[in-house]
Amino acid sequence: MNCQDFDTVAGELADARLMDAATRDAGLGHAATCVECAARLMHERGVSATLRVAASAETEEASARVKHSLLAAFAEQQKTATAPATVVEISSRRKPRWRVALAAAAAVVLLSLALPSLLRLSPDSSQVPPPDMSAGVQFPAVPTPTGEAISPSATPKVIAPHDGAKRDNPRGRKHANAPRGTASSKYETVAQNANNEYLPLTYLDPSTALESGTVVRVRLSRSALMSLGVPVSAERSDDLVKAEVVLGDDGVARAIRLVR
Amino acid sequence: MAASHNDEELLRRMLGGCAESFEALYDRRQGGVYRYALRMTGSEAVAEDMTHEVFIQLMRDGAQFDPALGSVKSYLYGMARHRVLRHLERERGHVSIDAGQGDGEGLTDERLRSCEDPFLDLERGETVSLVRQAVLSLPPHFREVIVLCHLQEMNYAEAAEVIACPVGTIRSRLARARAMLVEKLRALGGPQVGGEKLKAERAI
Repeated sequence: MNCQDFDTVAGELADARLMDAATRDAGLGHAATCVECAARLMHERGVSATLRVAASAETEEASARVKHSLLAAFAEQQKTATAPATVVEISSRRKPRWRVALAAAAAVVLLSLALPSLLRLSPDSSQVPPPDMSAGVQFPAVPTPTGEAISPSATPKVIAPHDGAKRDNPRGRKHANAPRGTASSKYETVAQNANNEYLPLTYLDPSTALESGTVVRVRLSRSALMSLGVPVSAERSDDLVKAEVVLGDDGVARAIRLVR
Repeated sequence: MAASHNDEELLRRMLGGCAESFEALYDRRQGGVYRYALRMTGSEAVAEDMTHEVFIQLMRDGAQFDPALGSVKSYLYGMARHRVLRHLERERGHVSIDAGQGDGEGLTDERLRSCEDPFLDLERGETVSLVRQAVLSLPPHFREVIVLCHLQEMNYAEAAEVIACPVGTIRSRLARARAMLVEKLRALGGPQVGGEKLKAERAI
């Protein structure tokens, strides 16, 4: 080993760090024969000793304030980390079937309560003559959940809900400008319920017509069915009748038919 | 109980929500992180802030720790180093050494010349203070190898993990840093050993 090589290992030799044994022996051997490198080694040992003294004084620590702050932050993080997990858990339970069940329940409530009330409260209802049971009524076409529109009967026999004066538009609003009575019309006449076809419950523009949905079988009182315009006997109005309701993805009932 | 686990186990438990493990890991590693930041920046307030930030980051990003890349200790020092270098970049030019200030004033040539090795004869407190001043005056890349390898007593491999460089770089950088440190100590009032220039200066 020459003096230049010694320079590269002098610090390690002085620090007594782990190093290749052959290198260490060569370095120490060189220092034993070279006065200048021996002085250098001694000097480096002095530097190392000084640094060791400085290292031994390295006892400072962050204040307790930092620790308290961090522990509080950790607790807070755990708290907030738990909250989203709960949300995830809840949302994971929101399976389509659950949503459908909820929508169905909501629809049943609407059907049995809200709609009859609305119909009774119609300002024209008191002046309306009894429904013309033979008259056809124009309703918007209602596609089935599979995407096929419910095909109307060629001979309209469906009963208008209540308002004979507004047969073309039982609610007098949504499709006031809709063309009538033509087979090619967007608004088709719904078949007689005797054919067990669906009776539309909403009167939406075809552009917002049902694209997909769910058929839910429910039991409704005859009075509720009557208020929806379904031709059922008024006798035993409290009896429950099975019906199938077409629910849109938004949970709104679009059509209904009796189940035989 | 938690204190008996190694760093990786503590980190794993901590990420699982164990506050006791987090506290144990903090107690074990905060001192080194704090002192590293303190020696590198010279500011207790900055060092405390950095220690706080490092452990906050550990809480947030601890899951990204990869044991294949190094130890938890190195991971923590690496995060501290990132902050230190950013801080030094912002403060560049503001750190200076004042030879006429502090404990170095009591250092006389006579006292230093009274022994073959001037450092060994210094009062302990003076030595520590002088070394800290001298270290702080080194360029950051040389400062950090002195801090890590000497003041933090890491081996070369650990320091290489923290700095993310080869061990050979640590070795050569440390040799230069020691030589520079001697010069800085002299600038603080140290002697020319034996009246001749140190051979170590050749390395600078």
